[in-house]
Amino acid sequence: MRNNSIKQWLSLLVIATMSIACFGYEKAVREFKEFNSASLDGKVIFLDGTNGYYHFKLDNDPKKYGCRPVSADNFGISFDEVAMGNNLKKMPYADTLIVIKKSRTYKYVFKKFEDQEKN
Amino acid sequence: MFNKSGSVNLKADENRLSMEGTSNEFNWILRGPEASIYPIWTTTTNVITGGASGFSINVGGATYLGPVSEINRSIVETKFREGGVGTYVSVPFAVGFSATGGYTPGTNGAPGIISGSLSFDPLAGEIGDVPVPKYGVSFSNTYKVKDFKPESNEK
Repeated sequence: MRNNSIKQWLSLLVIATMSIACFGYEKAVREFKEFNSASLDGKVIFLDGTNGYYHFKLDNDPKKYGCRPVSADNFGISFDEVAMGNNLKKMPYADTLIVIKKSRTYKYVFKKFEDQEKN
Repeated sequence: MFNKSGSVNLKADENRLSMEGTSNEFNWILRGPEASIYPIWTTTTNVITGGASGFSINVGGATYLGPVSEINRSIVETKFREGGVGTYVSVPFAVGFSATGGYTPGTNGAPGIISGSLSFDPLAGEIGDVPVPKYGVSFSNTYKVKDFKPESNEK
């Protein structure tokens, strides 16, 4: 009886994990395509992060963008520590985005998803 | 879906779910471009409340299963609504002491995180806690309270 409940629980866990992974990957690829092709130049007015992935909005753009930025300069400061309320810039298909805070420029690279790399 | 499976576990055996309420942690990011000796203070709140409560001290580590170059300091944050659901197995090996291993599936296209920790519960012997292995799913949100890394410090 107990073994059966463990098996049921494990089965449910495997299904749930795979569903999260598949849905999450597709969503991230979709969001990356939009983010990668966008020309961004505005003040960050919304920021939400989880597991190293951020969603953000700019004051001059109604879209919500998603990406996984990692520091690419000598500061090594987390994106959420500098982005909120400050200017963010990125050219279309650029491999780096920059955040300007108090005259300092912070650079971030971001994870590129396979589907987009092939193009 | 996750709430339902959590409720089933709760009814079967309250000890299977980690429901201590809120916990505070200091995390060090030791690899990747944003690695630092300065810690990040986080607080974890369980989505499902109730059940067992207690106090314990935990020391452990975690490994991101993706490339080191993808590790940033926000990796310590998790959100239940974004799919941040963790699983764990906890095995007691002495009165008040237990070893816990866990796996958190990746969200937003990222690989998962495996973790391990040693826990000490000073009240375990006094309240007659039965030393049996526990396993389950944790439904929680982890938020950054403060990142102690100074913005002006260059490497």
